[in-house]
Amino acid sequence: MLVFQSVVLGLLLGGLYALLAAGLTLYFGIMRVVMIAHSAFLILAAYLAWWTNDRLGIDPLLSMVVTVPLFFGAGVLLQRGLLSRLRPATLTMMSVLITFAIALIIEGLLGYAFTGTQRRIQLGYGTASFELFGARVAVVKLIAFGLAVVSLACLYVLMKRTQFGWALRATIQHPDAARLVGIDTERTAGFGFGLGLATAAVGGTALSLDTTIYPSLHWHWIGPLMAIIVVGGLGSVPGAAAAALVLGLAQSLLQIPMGATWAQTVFYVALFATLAVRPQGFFGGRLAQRF
Amino acid sequence: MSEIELVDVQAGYGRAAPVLRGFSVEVPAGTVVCLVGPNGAGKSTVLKVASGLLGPRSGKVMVGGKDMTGAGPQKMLAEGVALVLQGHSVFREMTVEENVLLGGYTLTDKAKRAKRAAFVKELFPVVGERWHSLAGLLSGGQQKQVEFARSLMVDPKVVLLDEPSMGLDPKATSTIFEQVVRMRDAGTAVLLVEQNARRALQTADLGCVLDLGRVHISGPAADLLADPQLGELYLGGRPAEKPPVV
Amino acid sequence: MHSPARRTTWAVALSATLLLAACGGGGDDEEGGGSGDPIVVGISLPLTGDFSEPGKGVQEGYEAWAKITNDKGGLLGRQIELKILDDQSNADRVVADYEQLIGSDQVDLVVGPFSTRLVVPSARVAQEYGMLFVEPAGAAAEVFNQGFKNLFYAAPAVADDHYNHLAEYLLALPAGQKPATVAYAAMDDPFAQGTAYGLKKKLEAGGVKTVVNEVYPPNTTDFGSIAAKIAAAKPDMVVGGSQYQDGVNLIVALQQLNYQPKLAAFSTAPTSPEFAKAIGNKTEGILSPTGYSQDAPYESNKEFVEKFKAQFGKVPEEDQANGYTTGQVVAAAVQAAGCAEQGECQQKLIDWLHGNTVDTVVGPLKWDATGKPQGAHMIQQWIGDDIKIVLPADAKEADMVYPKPAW
Ligand SMILES: Nc1ncnc2c1ncn2[C@@H]1O[C@H](COP(=O)(O)OP(=O)(O)OP(=O)(O)O)[C@@H](O)[C@H]1O
Ligand SMILES: [Mg+2]
Repeated sequence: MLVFQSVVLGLLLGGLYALLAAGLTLYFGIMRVVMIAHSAFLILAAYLAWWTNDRLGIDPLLSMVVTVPLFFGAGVLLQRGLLSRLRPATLTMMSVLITFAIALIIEGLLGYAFTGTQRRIQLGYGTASFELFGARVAVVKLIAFGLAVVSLACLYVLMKRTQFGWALRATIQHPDAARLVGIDTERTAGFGFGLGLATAAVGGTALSLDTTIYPSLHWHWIGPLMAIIVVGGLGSVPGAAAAALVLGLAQSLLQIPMGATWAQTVFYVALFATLAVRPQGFFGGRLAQRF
Repeated sequence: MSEIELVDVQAGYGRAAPVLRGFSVEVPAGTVVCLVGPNGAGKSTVLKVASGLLGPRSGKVMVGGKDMTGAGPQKMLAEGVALVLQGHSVFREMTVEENVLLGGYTLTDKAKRAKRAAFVKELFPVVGERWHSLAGLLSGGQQKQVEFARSLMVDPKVVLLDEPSMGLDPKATSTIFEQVVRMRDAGTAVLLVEQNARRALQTADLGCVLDLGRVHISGPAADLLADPQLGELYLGGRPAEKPPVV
Repeated sequence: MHSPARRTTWAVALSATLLLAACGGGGDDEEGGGSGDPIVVGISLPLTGDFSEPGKGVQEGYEAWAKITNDKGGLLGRQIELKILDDQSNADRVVADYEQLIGSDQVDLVVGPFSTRLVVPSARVAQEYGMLFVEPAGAAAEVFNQGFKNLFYAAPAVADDHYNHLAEYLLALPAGQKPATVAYAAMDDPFAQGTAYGLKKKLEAGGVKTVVNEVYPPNTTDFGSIAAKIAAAKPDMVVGGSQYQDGVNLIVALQQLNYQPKLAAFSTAPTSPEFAKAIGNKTEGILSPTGYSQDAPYESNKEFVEKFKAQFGKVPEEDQANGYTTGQVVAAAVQAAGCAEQGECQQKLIDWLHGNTVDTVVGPLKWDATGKPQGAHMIQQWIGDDIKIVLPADAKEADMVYPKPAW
């Protein structure tokens, strides 16, 4: 009973992890960029959702109408204006530093604008829930999970069925060959980055529905997310999604015997295990269908 | 008129000394031109300049009589120049189908894309057989054929092949060379770079030896094959069949 | 709202960064204590820096105390004069401040600064000079195991004792009604945890079984799993050793699982003005210990609330009440001993406080030898749309509702 409840909670949490990890995976796949600021953008989107609800009094989900295109644009600018100018040899290292700085800037601005006070969206349906085979499913968690599933599905269709998706995958896998078939790889990479950041907008909104936010919260997220993309096989979106579900589930189940503090370490244990046993990741593999 | 012509090209990477120092080559329509030279001579660099991946520092790149100097790969492709890179360059995690169709990325006409796909499938039977496999799971020779098929999707006037036989067994190598001939017979000019120089020259119409960034010697392939000095320096020993002319 | 322990951590981080020389002020002529002279009370408070918000709250409490006392003719017929220095939330600074106040400014009395971290070093200075040291913030165990003989914490209880009234109430219930099982979830923080564990110790000793005992890190935002564990164990009662936001999150998570305990007690969160809205008004029956309530029926409290409103245009909160209580405790000792100056008088004040009970705005206070208060917090309960005092019986505004209605 408790186990089943934990499984349900774990899957709901894993869905959110999967969406967030998808963005990180895109950046790394496209550009070998380690995007430390991803979770800072996530929290930024959560704040914007909270602000929308608190100040404008409308449903936080509506904030996505603005944040998704905004973040997409910001992603394109960030990639074209900053990251694409880095030298390939030092790209990964430098991207860590630059995006670290961006994360600090976002955190600082959030603290300045909204103070360090913890915030939580107050929703009429915040505590509503229903029963599913004996487990309780909270409506807000289900909405967050639904958002994650829908966005991941959209991402999948985009990557698999559209001209842009094909171009993006080709750019990720072999940039020179992509240019030789006529793909404007620069623009494609910029859009790809924007897409990654757009997932942060959706993820942040989903996150804001059922959790407390504060400016430095992103440090709490980036570690597990990084662990997920490594375990999932760097650069593989389905791998990251699978890793996210498994680790989300593991975290939820391990809380039963170990408590919250220790259950969090499952991410790092998985990370070290991956690096030691199977550095190419447990889900992506050396060669697997990445989308 | 030649399909593509490089005139007195200087080219190199970053701020390093130029790799090509006044190099010229010409690929007439309907011919296979073979470019040979030692490792690091700049053969791949020639193809990168010809395909627009690398802009020349000076000199000219003419395509079908038009000056295309400084144009990027997209424009070169539109002019009918396609490059198959050295080593493996399939999109490994996409299916053969996706790889081949991406070759026609610039084709807006769906019907034409389908027609070309049918054509290359016929030209390279393996491609059709493995249509739904992941490209990265194919053998080296099969991948090379996928790359050929991909480059032929736009019906190019000239194909630049960078060491297509690298790493292939003799049988696969033969297949590749057969296909070079078939491509020429289908009306596509070919600029071929090969380590397997003797074999390549036997297939080619014209030959060109590149050393120290310049043309060392060029002419009909048969003449180069017969040149004893070249044989020793660039073609791996004396020609087996013909005795040296003294 | 503010936990001393959390501030402590901040102070540790901050104290390393600032070191400023005490500026030489003072020089006022305060020799002796003739009956015409005012009684000068020296205080160091964090008026700037990290703790400036609660620091200013305590300052208002002290100011209200001085004004209310002076308006009634002062203490021993002498007016009270406050001498407040700003320690900039800096522990190094606070020692220098009290050295200056006692040594060079020759104040008659000193009272404590704000935050646990600052209480210990300043109490030490006061001890060296043999001064009475009543302080408004210093609930952590470390304050009481330093061997201070001159220190008194002017609040009803330390964290461990917050729930004492509730424990007494529950253990006195007949066997059939007494909760049989309890789940505890506490933040990994000495203050928050102390409240829950204080209750746990007493209930366990009384034979009430602990079925879940969870500790979560302060940065926890997802309470789904903890709540699931609690809900699955179906305990009669749930106790949260919480601060504000974690308390809200945990309650929401429990409600999402539709867990309906017979009793739910959380520290800090339920007394916040934001609380009801934060959990969508599903507050029914939630309990919380509180150190101060404007509605508490203690005699001096009515006067305090009324006059404070007139002076500051707002109602007093816990910080202000703590400052005011400190003043009341000192005043009671001064009145009884009939003196207020440095020297032998101080020991008289200390001795009197060790043997007597003082009526304050937070109820009657008395202390053990270490200065630890011997009381407990009042227990408030959400009944209808309001939070009301339900325990102890002599302070209650409403009867406790047990078992609590569904939330
Ligand atoms: N991307 C690059 N950046 C910098 N230098 C390069 C780059 N590619 C090639 N070079 C240098 O240019 C020179 C020529 O290289 P190129 O690849 O054209 O030789 P190649 O004739 O194709 O050799 P191989 O037979 O080994 O393929 C070499 O010295 C090489 O180090
Ligand atoms: Mg080469």
